[in-house]
Amino acid sequence: MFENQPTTGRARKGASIAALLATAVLALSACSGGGASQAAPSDDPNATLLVWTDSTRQAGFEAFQKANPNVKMKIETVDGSALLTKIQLFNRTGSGWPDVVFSQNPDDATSLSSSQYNYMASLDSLVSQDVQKGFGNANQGCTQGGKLMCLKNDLAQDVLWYNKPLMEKFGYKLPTTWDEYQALGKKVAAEHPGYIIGAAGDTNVYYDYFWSSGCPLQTVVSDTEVKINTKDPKCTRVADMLDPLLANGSVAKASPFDPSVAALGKDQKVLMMPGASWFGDFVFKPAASFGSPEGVIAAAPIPAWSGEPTNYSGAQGGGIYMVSSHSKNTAGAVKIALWMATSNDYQTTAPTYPAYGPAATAWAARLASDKFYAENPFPVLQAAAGKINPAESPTRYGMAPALSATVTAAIKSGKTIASSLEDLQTQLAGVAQTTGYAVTQ
Amino acid sequence: MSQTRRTTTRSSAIAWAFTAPYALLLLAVGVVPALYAIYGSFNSLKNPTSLSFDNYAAVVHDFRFLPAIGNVALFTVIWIPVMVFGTILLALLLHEKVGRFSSAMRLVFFLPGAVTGSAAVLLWYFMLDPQVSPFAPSLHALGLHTSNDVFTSSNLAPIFALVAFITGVGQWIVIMFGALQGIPQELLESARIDGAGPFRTALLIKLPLIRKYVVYMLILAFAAALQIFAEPSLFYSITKSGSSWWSLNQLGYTFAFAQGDFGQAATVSVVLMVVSAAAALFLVFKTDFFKNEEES
Repeated sequence: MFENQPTTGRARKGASIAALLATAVLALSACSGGGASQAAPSDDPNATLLVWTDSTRQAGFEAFQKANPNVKMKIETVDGSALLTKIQLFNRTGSGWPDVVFSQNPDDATSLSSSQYNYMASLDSLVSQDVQKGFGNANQGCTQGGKLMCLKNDLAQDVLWYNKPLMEKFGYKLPTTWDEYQALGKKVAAEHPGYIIGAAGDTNVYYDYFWSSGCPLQTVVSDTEVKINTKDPKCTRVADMLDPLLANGSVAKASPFDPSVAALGKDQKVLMMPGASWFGDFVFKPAASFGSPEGVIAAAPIPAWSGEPTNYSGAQGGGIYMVSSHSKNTAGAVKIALWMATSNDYQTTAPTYPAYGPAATAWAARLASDKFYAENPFPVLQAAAGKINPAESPTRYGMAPALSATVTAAIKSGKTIASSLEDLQTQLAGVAQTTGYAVTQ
Repeated sequence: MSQTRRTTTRSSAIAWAFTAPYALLLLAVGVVPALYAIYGSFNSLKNPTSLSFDNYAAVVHDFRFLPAIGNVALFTVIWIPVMVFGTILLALLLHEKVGRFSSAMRLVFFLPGAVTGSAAVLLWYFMLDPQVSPFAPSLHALGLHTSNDVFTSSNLAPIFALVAFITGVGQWIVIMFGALQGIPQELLESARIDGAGPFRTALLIKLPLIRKYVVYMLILAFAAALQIFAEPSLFYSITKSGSSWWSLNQLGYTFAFAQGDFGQAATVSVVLMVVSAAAALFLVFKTDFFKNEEES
C-alpha cells in the first residue's frame, strides 16, 4: 500500500487536478444568475389553488376547504424561513409559485413585493373598502408603495403582563410610565431580589422597548430610504432606562424563552413582563413554558415614554396573508385569504389577536370565558391594538440578526445596552445598505 | 518504445474506464455548478447584463466579511490541531495493542460521529446549557449557571471546535487505524528487535509511514473548517449567541437567502474555493503527498 504507488508525472498532475476539483466541490455551496420571468395570468376559477401555511394556520385553511368543498385547493405546510428562497427559485424556473401564502414574518411583505421578488398581487381593487376599513391601521405594514399588498392576520401589540396576586402581596402599583417602571425595578431588586419585571436577552428588547419608544431603527422614509439613528434620544433613553435594571437583576439578561426564565416563571418569580398579545396564551400558560396557575396572570397597558402623546407599543410578530401575482385563479386566491383574515368562523377560533376589528370583537368572547386570566385581558389588548408605534415599519432587512449580534450579545454578556448602540448603528446601516436602502441618520 | 507506448495507452484507457463514473458525477454536480458559480460571481444584481467585479468589491467591503474571516480563522486554528493530534494519538493508542478492547474502543470513538451535524449540535446544546444539562453539577462547579455564561461570543469558537472534534474524530480514527494496519508486520518486528519501545516505534516508524494520510486529512479538515455552517447557525437559532453571519458560509447563506443576492453568495463560495484549493495545492506540491519512493 505504501511502497507501491505507481505515480507518473501525468498521473501526478491528474491527481493534483482531482484534488483541486474535490476541494472545489467541497467549497462551493451556492450558485447564481438568472432573473424573474413573468407570464400574464388569465383567471380560471377552476384552477387548483396552492396554499402555503404554517402548522398553526393549517386548521383554518382546512376549515375553509370544508366550508367550500367546490374550491380546488392544495394545502401545504412550509418552513417560513425558506419562503424567500423558494419564491426566488420559482422566479428562476418560471413556475411553481403558491397562490396564497401565510407568513409569520411581517417583513416578508416588504421583501416579496419588491421588484427583486415581484411576487405579490396588489389587493387594492380586490378587497372592498368596507373590509379595508375594518382593519383600522392594522394593514399599515401591508401597504407598500401606497398599495395594499397583503392582509394582516393577527396583531402582536405589546401589553404589560403581570402576576396580579403577587403585585398585591408586594403592595406595588402598576407602572404607567417607563420612569415608574424603572423605579419599580430598583425597588424589586432591593426588596425582592430574584424576582424579575422583564427579560431582555432576545430580540424582544427591540419590540418591547426600542420600538415602543420610537427609536429609529426601521423608520422607512421611502422604498429606497430608511432612517437609522441609534444616537437619537429615543434610543438612548431606552438604554438609560434598562441598563440599571439589567445591572441590578430586576430585568433578566436572558430571553423570555430561555430555560432560566421559564424556571423563574414556574417559581412565580416573574412579577411582570412586557410582551406581545400572544404571551398570555403562549408564554405564561403552557406547562412547557411558565405554566402559570389559573387566576394569576393579567394584562395592563404598556407604560408610556415621557413626552409621547400616548403609550405606544411595539409588535412582536403579526402574520400576513399574501396572494401571488402569478396566480391563475386570483379571485379564488383572494377569497381564501379574505376568509382567513376576516371571517368570524375562523378568527374566533384563532390562537392570536385578530387584526380585523370585527373579528377581534367576536374573538373577545373566548378570552372572557378563559379561567386562566385573573381578569379579562381583552379590553387592554383592544386598547393597545391601535397604538403600535407607527414610527417603525417592516423593511426588506430583518432587524433580528444585527440586533442579536450587538445589543442582545451585550445584554447577555453583562455589558450595557449603551455600549452596544454604536455597533448596532454600523451593522444595521450595513445590512440596510446591502438590501438597497440609502440610510439617513 | 512503441510497445511501451501501447501498454501505457491501454493502461490509461483502463484507468479512465474505472474513473469515468466518478468523473461524470464530479462533472455534473461539482465542476459544472462550480463554473456556474464562478460565472455568477461576476454577474451582479446592479449590473446584470455585463460581467464585472462588482460582487467582489461588495463582498470585500461588506462589514460582515472581515469578522467572519476572523471567526473562521480562530475556529480553524483551534480545531485542526486538536483534530489532527487527537486523531493520530487515539489511532496510535488503539493500534498499540490490537485486540477485542481496541476494536470495542474504535466503535466507541466512532459512535458520536453517527449522530449527524445538526442533531449533534442540538445534543451538545442540551449538554452545555446548565439549566437542562445532565452534567449540570459539573457546569455549576465551573461557575457556569445559565446558558448566557456558557454561550458567550468568546466561547463560541472553542465550543464549535469541541462539537466538530467529537463528531468528526471517529471516522478519521477508522481511516488512520486502517492506514496503521497497512504497515508490514516485519517492519514493526525489526523495530522491536532493534530495541525501539512503543513510543519510539509510534513516533519514528508508524507516524512517518502514515504521513500521507495525515496530509490527506489536513486538506479535507481545512476545507471543512472553512465551510463551518451547521454549528454556528444552529447555536445561533437556539441561543441567539454569535450571529447569522458568524462564519463565511453563513454570510453566503445570508446573501443568497435573506438578501436574495445569489451573485454575492457565489462570490463568497469562490473565495472559499480559491483558498482551500490553494492550501490543497500547497500540500500536494510542497509535501511528498503524491510522490512514490523512487522520486522522493
